[in-house]
Amino acid sequence: MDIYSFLINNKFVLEYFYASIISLISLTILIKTDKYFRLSLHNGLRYFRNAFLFYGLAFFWKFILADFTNLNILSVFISQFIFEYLLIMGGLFLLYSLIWKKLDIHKITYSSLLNSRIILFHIVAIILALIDSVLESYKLLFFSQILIFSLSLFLSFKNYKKNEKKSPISKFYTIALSLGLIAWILNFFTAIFFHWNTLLLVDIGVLNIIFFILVLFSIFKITKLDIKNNGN
Amino acid sequence: MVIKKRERLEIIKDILTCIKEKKNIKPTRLLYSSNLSPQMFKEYVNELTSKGFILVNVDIHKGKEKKFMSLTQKGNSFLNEYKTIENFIQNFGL
Repeated sequence: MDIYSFLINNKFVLEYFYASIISLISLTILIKTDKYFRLSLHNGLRYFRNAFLFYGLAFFWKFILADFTNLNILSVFISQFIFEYLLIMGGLFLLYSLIWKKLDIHKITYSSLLNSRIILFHIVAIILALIDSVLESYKLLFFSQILIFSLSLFLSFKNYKKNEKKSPISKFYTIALSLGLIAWILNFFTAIFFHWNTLLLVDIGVLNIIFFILVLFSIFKITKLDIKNNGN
Repeated sequence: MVIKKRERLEIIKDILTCIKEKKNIKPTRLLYSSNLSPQMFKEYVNELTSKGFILVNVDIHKGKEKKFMSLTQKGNSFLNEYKTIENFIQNFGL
């Protein structure tokens, strides 16, 4: 039995594994970023942290409900709605962490999850998730994520080019975002043209895991560099 | 010559470094060292005090009230981790 046949036969085990890996990586990123946010009170770190809070919650939700076949129609609707809402919120926070400096008029906000600007994110995420769930489609999720990742990639690439030192960490983040974008585009094509082909979904899952690992790796690399510098 | 405007985080680092070097510093002296306007200085000091980065100690000597500023453990941690935070923000474009 080849690896792909094994994966198809153990689809739900794979789903659990996939969701738990991403939840754990997101949790680690969240804890690491939160530490630096609490010290610096820098809004960019705050929004970046929030992005991985929502990604972590989305995949934790998926982990709990990986086997959708046992659910009734209403539960499937609610499950999809919550999963999509959390993913879209994660994407919006990721993008906002790169553009907040240009948009934030009031520097200090008491809550980064529920303020006048972020409420707009919640509204957008609820509307998109609701429409998709009612239509039993994932198209709006795919479109929104492709748009979010394209903009984030553009901003990240601009930042990499602007960075005089051309740091490898900055490059890793740009590569990670490129992989994230490719994964969402492939996800869209797999859903529309290949009827959720399992083999393609496995490849997309791998791409997604690499995206999260690269972000985590970049954060570890920064922390490691600091330990080295402090040690000298 | 173009003088780059200091970022918020850099200003905080400068204020905290100054307090750390002098251990106990008077607000007026810190104001001069920080290169900020009195209004901006007040805002930063209030923020740093409320977030627990610095302590304002009041010493009464011969009936006169004298204020001194000192660094807290949290402020010290910030200075130790400043390079990491700066790298994080720069590399991720945050």
